[in-house]
Amino acid sequence: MGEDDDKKALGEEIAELESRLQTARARLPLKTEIQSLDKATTHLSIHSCKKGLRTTTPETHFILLLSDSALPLGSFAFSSGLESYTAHRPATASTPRETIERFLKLSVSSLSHTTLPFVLEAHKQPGAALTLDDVFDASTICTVARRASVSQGRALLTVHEKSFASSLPPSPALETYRRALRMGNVQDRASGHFPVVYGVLCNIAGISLEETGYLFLLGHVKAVLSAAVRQSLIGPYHMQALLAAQETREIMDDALTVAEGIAVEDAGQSVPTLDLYQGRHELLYSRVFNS
Amino acid sequence: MSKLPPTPPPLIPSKPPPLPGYGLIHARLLPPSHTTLPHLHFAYPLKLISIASTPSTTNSYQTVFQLTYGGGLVSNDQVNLRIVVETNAKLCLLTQGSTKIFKQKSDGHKTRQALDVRLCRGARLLLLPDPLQPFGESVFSQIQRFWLEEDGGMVVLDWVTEGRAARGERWDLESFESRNEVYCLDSGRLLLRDAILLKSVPSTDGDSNNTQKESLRSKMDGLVVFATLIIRGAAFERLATYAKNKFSKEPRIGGRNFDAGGDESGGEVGGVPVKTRRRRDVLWTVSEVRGFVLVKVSGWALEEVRGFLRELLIDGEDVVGEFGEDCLLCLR
Repeated sequence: MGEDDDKKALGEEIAELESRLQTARARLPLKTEIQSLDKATTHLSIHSCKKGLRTTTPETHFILLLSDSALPLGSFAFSSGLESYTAHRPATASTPRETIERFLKLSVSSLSHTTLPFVLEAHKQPGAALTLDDVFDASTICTVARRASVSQGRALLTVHEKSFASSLPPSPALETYRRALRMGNVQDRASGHFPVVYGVLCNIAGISLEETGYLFLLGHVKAVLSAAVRQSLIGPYHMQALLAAQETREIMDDALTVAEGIAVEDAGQSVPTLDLYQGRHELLYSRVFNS
Repeated sequence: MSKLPPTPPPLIPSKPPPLPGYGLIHARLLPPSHTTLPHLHFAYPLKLISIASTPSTTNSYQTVFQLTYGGGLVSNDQVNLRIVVETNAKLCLLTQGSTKIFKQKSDGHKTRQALDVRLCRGARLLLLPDPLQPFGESVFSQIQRFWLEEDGGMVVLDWVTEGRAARGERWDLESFESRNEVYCLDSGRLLLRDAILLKSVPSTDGDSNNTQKESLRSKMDGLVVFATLIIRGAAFERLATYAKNKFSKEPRIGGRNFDAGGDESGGEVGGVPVKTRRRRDVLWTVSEVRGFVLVKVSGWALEEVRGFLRELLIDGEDVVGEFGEDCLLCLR
């Protein structure tokens, strides 16, 4: 039953992404026409494939790959604290829809103060990945959140190694990082935290800083909402409605603005209740998710 | 990564600058086991009072009370306290009553508190202040940095309450920031960073923006206090283990209580289905991070959280064993 819902949600997501891709493609020649012609020709030769205007840039291509739910990160195993949050709240206090809508806001706000600054910094300085990984490890207190971060970060590294590496320029920064995960000395061993790996990988794929932040946020929003669908808080149609909603995009925009103003050393928890609820995930009698 | 890395207080004491709010505590062990305070400096608005443990104690320690005039910090007050605890010395830092943080009077007048602690080998620090109490419209930022040498032990409590609840102030502060950072003294590596950032949400009246933002008060789900207890070092190992065990024995959420002795079973407290629980109105969690054990406690009643922490520290034995029961002043 859950699988059907998943497939449905996935199908819808793909359709949505495809339509976005089409509109983006449609806009491309239009935009360039407005610019002066001679400029337009050089512009196009840099940014699009040689075959013509119909194909997309490699950056957009990787954006779509990274936003795909089929990316094998195991994100479906994590609810980012949603499961424990709902268990801690009386069922009568709000409708399931209100519950998930509130949680989504709190979760994104928290993410913008704790995790997103690390994604952006890793994108800006891939060479500092090891230090960032260490600082993120020191700053992430909640055991459950740590587990989720390391698991997805390592999975993304594996995806890069096995799937993307052959199509992307070689990255010494990522190689050093990967080697540090296997360091014999436990003290110097890197953890492979998700935001750091994500930032570095997006940098290699040529995705811009803003788009990297947006992509990471979208991935988080999708993961939370898909957990909500599987927890039967909302149906797959409402999930898509929330994903498409202007309000959700505003939340994401706000989060990006906030995160851009926070240096990694100034990151911290802005919604302390979430840490508590998520930390108590371990105490759930029965649980579907890993976080 | 742009800022300069912070530096630990120097081992050789230098008198702090005679500036408002600057202070220094230097604790030294006189063999075999007598802790003394060769240096104790402070300037208004900071005040320090020291009390030595009773001489009969075989393993003596020093207690210092950190006081503020009028029991609080007003707009633009800045406190800078440096502490050095030398090899094997023991220091206990307490307050007398909650630290009230008053309303900000004009823009840019932030109230700040900075604590820099150097813990040498085998040194033990107990930091058990009363909670911070940010009043409505207050702007406060605190940073507590600890540099650990091998085997340095610490138990640090950092907590904040909702404000003057009696006057209807519940998380009405303008902004509040508290960070605890622990560094390795030799390498300067950051070992732990625990930070909480609270900010009031600007009211969006008359804004074209139709997004309704949740107020800070509402975000807190009715919780009145957030406490973090940081435990580190061999000296406090029993406490750390006790906290971990206690958490693992917490009743499962949403499960049925099949135990025969379910005398406290049933009911819901503050929305949490509770089957068996000794302390009601308390929400807590334990995590083990890079050699630290952190206990996060929150609740719907301050007295319950106080009682919970008190029980934890007494049952965990180490703190009372090292510093006696008098150190639990803030938890009475």
